Amino acid sequence: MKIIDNIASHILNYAVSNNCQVFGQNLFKPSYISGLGKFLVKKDGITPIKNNWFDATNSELTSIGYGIGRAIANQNTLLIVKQQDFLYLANDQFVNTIINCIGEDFLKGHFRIICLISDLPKEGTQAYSNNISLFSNLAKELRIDYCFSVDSFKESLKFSNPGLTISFLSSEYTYKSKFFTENKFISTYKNLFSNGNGEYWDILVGFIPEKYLKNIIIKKCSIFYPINVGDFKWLEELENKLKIKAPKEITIHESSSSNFMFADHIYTFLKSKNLDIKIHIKNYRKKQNGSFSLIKQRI
Amino acid sequence: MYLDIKKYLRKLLVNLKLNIFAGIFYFKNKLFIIESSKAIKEIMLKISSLKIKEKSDLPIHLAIGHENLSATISALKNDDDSFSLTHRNIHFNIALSKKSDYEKIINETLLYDNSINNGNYGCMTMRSRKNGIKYTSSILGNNISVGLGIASTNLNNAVTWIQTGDGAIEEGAFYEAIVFAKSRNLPVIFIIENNNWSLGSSIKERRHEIKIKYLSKSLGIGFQQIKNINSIFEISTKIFKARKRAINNPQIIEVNLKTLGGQKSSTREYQSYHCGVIRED
Repeated sequence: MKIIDNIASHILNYAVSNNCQVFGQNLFKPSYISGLGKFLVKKDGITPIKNNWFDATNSELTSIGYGIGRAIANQNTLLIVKQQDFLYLANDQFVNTIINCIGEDFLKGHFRIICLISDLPKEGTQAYSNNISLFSNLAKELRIDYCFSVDSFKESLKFSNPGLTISFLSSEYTYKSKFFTENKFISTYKNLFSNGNGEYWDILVGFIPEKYLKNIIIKKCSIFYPINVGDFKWLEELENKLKIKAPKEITIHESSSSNFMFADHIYTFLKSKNLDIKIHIKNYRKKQNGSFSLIKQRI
Repeated sequence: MYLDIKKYLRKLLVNLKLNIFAGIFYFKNKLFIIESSKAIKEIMLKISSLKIKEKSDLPIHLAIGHENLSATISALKNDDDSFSLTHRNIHFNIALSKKSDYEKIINETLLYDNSINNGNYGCMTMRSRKNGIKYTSSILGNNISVGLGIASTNLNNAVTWIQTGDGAIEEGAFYEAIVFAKSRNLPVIFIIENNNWSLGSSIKERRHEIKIKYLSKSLGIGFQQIKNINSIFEISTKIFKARKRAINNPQIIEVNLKTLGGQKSSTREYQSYHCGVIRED
């Protein structure tokens, strides 16, 4: 079974078993939002399986508010979104409405958004603005799952408690079957991080390939890799290392067209600790040929 | 030709029947609406006095001048109807509640414990949920789309009343929502309380006139305009008709009114009612 078919069949099972109303822009028309909705239609290929499933108008803000309204009224809803930058149009609903719904067991139904992240290099500027960490601060009030494989997506779908969940699906890592190699990444770089030394440190965040690392980043660099959005233990670990080894300057290198953008998190954290360290941030964009170009440099 | 005449006559008959029922509703409920309006105003004045007495600087938004509207809707609504309201929701919260809850509403505006939302929400987002107020928001245009979601779950010919104002209809959220509502044929009534002011600027000062009548017509949405907020007859008959029609087609009611109270600026017509009653000291 193709990966996309596997994902689409999980979506169908989820929608049916949770009695969801399903909607999305062009969801029931080929190409079914990159194939995500391909099993949600009858044999004619365009009629939704259930009567109350529908193609939405081009109205992201209203669509999110609509789903939350249904959750208030104790109904389950599934919205499928083509790519993450569409969701930015609905920030008012993600921030203000969710905050308005805190307390009193307000959201009774479950509203899930399944959203692709266009993080393939060929997407150009769109990939640059499709970083899952841009939503990470919202994780305080709603559940956000980052799915880098079919298995992690399947795991995300198991959750159906009242409230709002966003399941982000990485195009690069899910569709291309390049499964998230977290363990491999850590085992490769963690030693380098532990051996951080000298007055000038380099911290690397995002999926920057080893080739680039060897050529561009200073050889003595100290590597740091954020494991996941919800787990901030690594920040404490970093703080301890810095206190012990006391470097004078740090440069945070971040690949902005990868899935994580954590430079600002790290910067804010370190500043809050009043460490006497000068911090630089360098943002890189992944180009279509796989190489990286420096696009922004800040102190 | 014959079919056209038949269709026209049928429409005429339906409208005639609706007008008769609207008239009956008016005669039956006129006294109730007047009494209810008085009570709503009294409660708001009481809140105003308390705010001054307690020297509270909480952002209380009164709706003095809107009472006839909320009292009429309260008389007309079905038990299953729901509401998605703005920051200026107090007249609805009072109108839809029983007298025994009035004290709790007053308490909520001042964030006391013994109140309808345990002092968690305050005046701008208070919600008497047991009376159908399912959502309130202090953010301009934020409550509109949430109301659509609530409306999509309605049963038993219930409708969802979505309150908004002449400021919020400038937001893209309003346009998105009316297109969405019509596309899904949701049982909703958008109530536009047009008091001419958005914070400190009047309509003339900030934008071109929006002719809701034509906007509604372009989308096939029903439209009623209430020009005289003091006419219980006009309010009750027009809202009655909109309520009946909303079961099959979204409706918009634009209500021209004046929000009273607060202090008047010495140089301009602008009144600071949006911040509640200003402390005298």
